[in-house]
Amino acid sequence: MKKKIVSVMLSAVMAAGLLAGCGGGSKDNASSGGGSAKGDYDMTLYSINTTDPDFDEWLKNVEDATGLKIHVIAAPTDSDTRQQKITTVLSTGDTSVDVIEINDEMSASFKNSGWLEGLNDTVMTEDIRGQFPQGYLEDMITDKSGNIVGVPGYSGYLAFWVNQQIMDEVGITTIDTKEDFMKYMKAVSGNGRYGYGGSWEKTYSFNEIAQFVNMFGGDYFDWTNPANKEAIQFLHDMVADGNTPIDQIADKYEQMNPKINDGKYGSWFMWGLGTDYEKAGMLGADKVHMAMVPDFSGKGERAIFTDSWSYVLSKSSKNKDAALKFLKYMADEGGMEASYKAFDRYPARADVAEKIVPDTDPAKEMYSRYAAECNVKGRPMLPQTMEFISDIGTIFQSCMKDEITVDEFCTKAQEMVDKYSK
Amino acid sequence: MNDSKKYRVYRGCVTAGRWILFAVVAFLILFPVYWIFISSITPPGELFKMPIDYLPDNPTLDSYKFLIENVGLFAKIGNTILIVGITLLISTVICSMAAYAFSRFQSKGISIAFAFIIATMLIPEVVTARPLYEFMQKVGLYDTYPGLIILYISAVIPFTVLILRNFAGEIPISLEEAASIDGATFTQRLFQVVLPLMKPAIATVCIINFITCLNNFFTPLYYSNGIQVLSVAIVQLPLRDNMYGVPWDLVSAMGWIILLPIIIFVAVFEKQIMDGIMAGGVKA
Repeated sequence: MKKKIVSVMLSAVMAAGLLAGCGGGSKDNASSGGGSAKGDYDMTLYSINTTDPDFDEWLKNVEDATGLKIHVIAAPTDSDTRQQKITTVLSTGDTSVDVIEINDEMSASFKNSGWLEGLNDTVMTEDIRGQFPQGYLEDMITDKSGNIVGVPGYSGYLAFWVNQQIMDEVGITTIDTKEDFMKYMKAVSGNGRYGYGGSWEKTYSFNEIAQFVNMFGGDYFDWTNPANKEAIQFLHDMVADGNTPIDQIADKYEQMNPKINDGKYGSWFMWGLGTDYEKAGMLGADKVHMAMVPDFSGKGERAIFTDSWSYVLSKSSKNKDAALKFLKYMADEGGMEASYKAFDRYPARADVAEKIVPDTDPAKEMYSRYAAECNVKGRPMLPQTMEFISDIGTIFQSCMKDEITVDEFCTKAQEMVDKYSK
Repeated sequence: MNDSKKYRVYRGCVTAGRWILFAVVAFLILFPVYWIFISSITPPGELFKMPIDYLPDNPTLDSYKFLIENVGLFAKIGNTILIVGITLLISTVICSMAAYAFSRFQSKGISIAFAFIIATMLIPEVVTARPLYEFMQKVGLYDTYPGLIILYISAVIPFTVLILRNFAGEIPISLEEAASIDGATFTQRLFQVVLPLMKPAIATVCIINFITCLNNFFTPLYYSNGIQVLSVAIVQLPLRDNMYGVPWDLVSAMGWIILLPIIIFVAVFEKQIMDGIMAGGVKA
């Protein structure tokens, strides 16, 4: 009997212990590490920029301009973790988040999911829409019903970069065509230096595979297209001829950029405005700078990819009016200027970029030319983005190492397109 | 060579072999720790220099400064201490008593309950994640301290109960019987005889649970937004210029900040950990 009483008491203590935990905290003071304090607020923003040193200044600007009190939650900046978390938030109809910043990979996964609110009639109205890169809007943030589901927060290009010192050394003034490119490769490569360098780690290689397929006039989703094969053969031959190193299959941008700063590469494709080169004292018209993408088609067609992070509105949001007010501001000149000043994000709207980016910004001229002279597109992505990218990257590496032929690569790549399109 | 000389040579070889093995194992374990530290004090531009610099040319504490100024490091440390502290306190109390009950009382129901608790160790977190996420939201525990603490406690309960039950089972029941003969009540036997004898095991599970909780990444990431802890902070560092670059200098600094308390904790409580592991039969 006594034992039974003790058993009951022990159970009671266990239960009390658990309940004691329930009184241990408060949601009201929960926010920490990069967000504004939780309390009375109009909407919640799930942002990747909270750890930026200028984030608070940006937030103040947005709050002052919109009159909104914005609660901010720090999103993981690690891509896999972030995608899992945001997928959960959106798919469960979580109402604790209103606006989310998503990248192209997430956009490809979410835009047709029905989890995001269409913004055609409210924010991305016709007059505003025309100022954004049309290829990007169509490829990346328009759902199958034609609804635009996001507001691009900035505009980035997978720009073509060259090392001017190397160009001067080999006496080449311009890389305008495929022939110029090949001539440059031959002149530069040798003694540990390469005409072209890249990041061919299995997920990063996607950008360059797609870029070369694009430059050759191919279609990333149709590997029976001869132009696709030509592009892969071209990359393969660059490795075989020693114009680009095979050991870059281990490189991401962190490994690639020091090689660029050391003058190991004559040309490359890269996102961003070259902050790493600037820090190393390598950015400049006479050193490392952006250049016009060569015309590989021979028809005057220049292909370039653009990327962005877009603000999207969760369909489950209970603060839609406030969220729309925020989104309108981010699509407007004031919001874009705030982001440009705080985060160095180049404005996505051409008219705003022209107005607010000073002529002294080294990216301005080339970004304007990219917008005007190139066929600007969003990257080719499928709903199961990361799996697709990773699998193509794996067989690309095998092909570059001569473990499979270019034909086998194309066959397998088509199988992957079919698999991940379903 | 006489036998004693042969023996001395043999002993010398064994000792040398042990030291070599020790050095190799120590190198394998300590080199990554050293590398994380070196990376944390190396300027980002020099991180991937070739040939590799094993000592940075221009060491800097900028990464740590950045974490303190921009990532809310102290708030995260505070949250971590609060959640882990309460978790350890509650889980230790609950599990000690549960372990005693499981080791001393026998019935079909108790055996099933014990098997049920242990079986929960076999369920991967991702399997329960989605329904638990919705449940936590519905009951208002999502993104709250109590919610996180309950989840942390539930994560450590199976392991703790298993270890403490095994240990409690080793304590001779005759000690309790002797105390009983001397007039001790059940409560006195439990709190004055058994629990003091369980101290090494309790210390061990506390230390192991402390490390487990500190390293717990999935729970705080998945079930909270605003409450941030150290383990999640490592994936909340700013993206670099092109939005695809990983800030390895900051990742290393944050890794070192997470690693340091564990190293100190283990160094301070090494004896208790080893005693507990031996006594409780934990296969570490």
